[in-house]
Amino acid sequence: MPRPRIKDVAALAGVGTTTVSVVLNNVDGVRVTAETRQRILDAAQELGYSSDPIARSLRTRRTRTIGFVSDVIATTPFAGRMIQGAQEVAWRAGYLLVLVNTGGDREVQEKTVRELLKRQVDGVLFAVMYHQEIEVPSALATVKTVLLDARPTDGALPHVVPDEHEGALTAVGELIGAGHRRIGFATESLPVPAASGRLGGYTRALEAAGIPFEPGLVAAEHGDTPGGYRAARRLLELPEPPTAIFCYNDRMAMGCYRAAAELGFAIPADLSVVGYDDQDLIAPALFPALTTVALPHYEMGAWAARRLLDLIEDEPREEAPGHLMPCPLIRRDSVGPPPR
Amino acid sequence: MATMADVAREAGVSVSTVSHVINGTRFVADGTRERVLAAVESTGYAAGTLARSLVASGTKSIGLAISAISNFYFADLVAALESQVRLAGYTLLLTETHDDPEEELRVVQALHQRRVDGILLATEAQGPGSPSLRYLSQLNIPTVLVDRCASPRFDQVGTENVESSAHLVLHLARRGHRRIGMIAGQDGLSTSTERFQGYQAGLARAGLALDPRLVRTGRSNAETAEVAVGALMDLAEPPTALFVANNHMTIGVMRALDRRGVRVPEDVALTVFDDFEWASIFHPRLTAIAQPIREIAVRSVRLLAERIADPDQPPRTVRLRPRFMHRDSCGCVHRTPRHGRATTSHDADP
Repeated sequence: MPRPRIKDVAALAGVGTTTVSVVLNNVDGVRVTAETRQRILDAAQELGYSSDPIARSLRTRRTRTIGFVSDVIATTPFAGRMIQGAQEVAWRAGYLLVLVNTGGDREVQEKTVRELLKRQVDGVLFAVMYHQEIEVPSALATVKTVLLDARPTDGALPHVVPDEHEGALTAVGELIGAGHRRIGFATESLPVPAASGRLGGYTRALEAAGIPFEPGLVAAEHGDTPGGYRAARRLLELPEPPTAIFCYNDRMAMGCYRAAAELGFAIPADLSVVGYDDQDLIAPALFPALTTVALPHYEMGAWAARRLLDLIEDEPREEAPGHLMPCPLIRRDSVGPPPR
Repeated sequence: MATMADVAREAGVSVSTVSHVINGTRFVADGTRERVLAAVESTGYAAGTLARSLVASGTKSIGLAISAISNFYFADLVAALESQVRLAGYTLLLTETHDDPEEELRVVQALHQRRVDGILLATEAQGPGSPSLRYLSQLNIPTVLVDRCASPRFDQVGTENVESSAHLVLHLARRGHRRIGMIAGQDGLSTSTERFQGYQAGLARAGLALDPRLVRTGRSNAETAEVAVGALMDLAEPPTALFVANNHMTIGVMRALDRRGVRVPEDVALTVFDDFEWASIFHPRLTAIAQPIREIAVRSVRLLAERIADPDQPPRTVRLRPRFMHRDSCGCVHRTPRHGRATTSHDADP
């Protein structure tokens, strides 16, 4: 048996389809007699007619779907949390996510965004794998969009990025609080916003404690485990090595652990280490467990989805378009007082 | 041929209630829905016709119901499925089941309501009787069970778990281990059961008796696994080797062993299920079973496309052979890997 249609209800009730629609959708300001109304309701009941979600979406001009367009986000072990944050918020509001990975290719991006728009998503979350400044695909100009972990180079699209400066300030503050004065920074050599933001936080924390900035204590390498190893070796082989190292991310911290072990530095007795990211597979798994700064991917995804839903449902907002998501310190076991 | 009215009579409900259940158009109380589904089954209501009408009104979209929170491996699988689904000309609607039977049913219903052409489901079901599987089979919704092969009444694609687990256990036994412990996954998941069967088969082939004291559940998460491995190491005669049934539990196991000063593989040898991007940077590098994630995605989407095209063909189960990544944690290779040195992994027999 095919789904009953509105015209079936109209035929059974002996009225026109418009009248059925008016009654079933409780349209205001149209007069329908009580007797006709009842006949329509009975007919709808008898046929098992119900306005279905697709029909409803035609009426409201909303599909209650949100496009989640990303470069390679789902394949990184921790950034999948962004999707989860967005997914949960959308689901609770009755929306579903359409997931699209573009592989970061601009042409694929433009094409997939146009495809999504054809399917009439109500809005788009445009996410990148790590904090970047991006040129927004031009196809997004016609749809409500929120950027996730990205700042637009032009225009004022709503966006959420981690508060790198504040996160680094907290991390270095933790080391200063433990009594350290010679604090190294093993950082990423690429000029990405996270690197400049965290360097800013590092220098600001030193300045606030009256510790002079020493360029020799900043070692820039690739932001991965081998890079962290090389950076930490360089710092620890200085004539006067630092007593603590703030690492750009947890992978660099992992390399730093190895360098420390090879050179006979015990953590945290001889060397304190703080990471960044709070990456599940690394930070709690290292021994001793790594004190680090969390990159709140889940919260950023949830924030972006809430903001997008507000735009879709025309909730007015007074806020600035950009939101800096706080990065909290996660205290574990890799920070202690400096050695005597 | 049975009509909707027959189903309604059989279930003792109104036709519209039957319609709501079948079309997923409105919430229907659990007991009532069950009665309707039972009546669909007993009257042989034309579910095939229904499925065809869904095809006709297809939205060129596929729903994915998975608990991504439960595993990194699922995050990779989601990415692989998305690219296959897109290549096949569909878009992917993502939903989260939280590995909870109620939520799984709700998301399956929500996807059905959106008129997806088919559903990819990583089910927590332990058999065909689960609410979501009954819903899917009785409404004949094109479905492929992904990763967890819970019911031969569906198309399903997963890793071969039994033989590959047996392989990891036998590998340890051939190195002379007699007390091989297991940290098992969440009870009830089909993958947990199969990996435990593999553990038993491996022991049997090595001529070792199963000692139940050496098996603890880590409930598929790191924290429980940490406690579980602690309990094993506190035994009067602790195991000399461990088989760990998934990646999250491996993290917990490594952490617990580190904390106790137990060295791998010198004091305890380790083989684990699930390879992951980071497995080679653990010290020591992990000897692991790598699931063929891309292949699972390719085959799942292909089966689903075929099921959508022909809803009435008999269901098929596809079991894919994983890769054995022979590294250091099993104790076979005794050297300290230095940083930056190229790592080698290869297929090998035990």
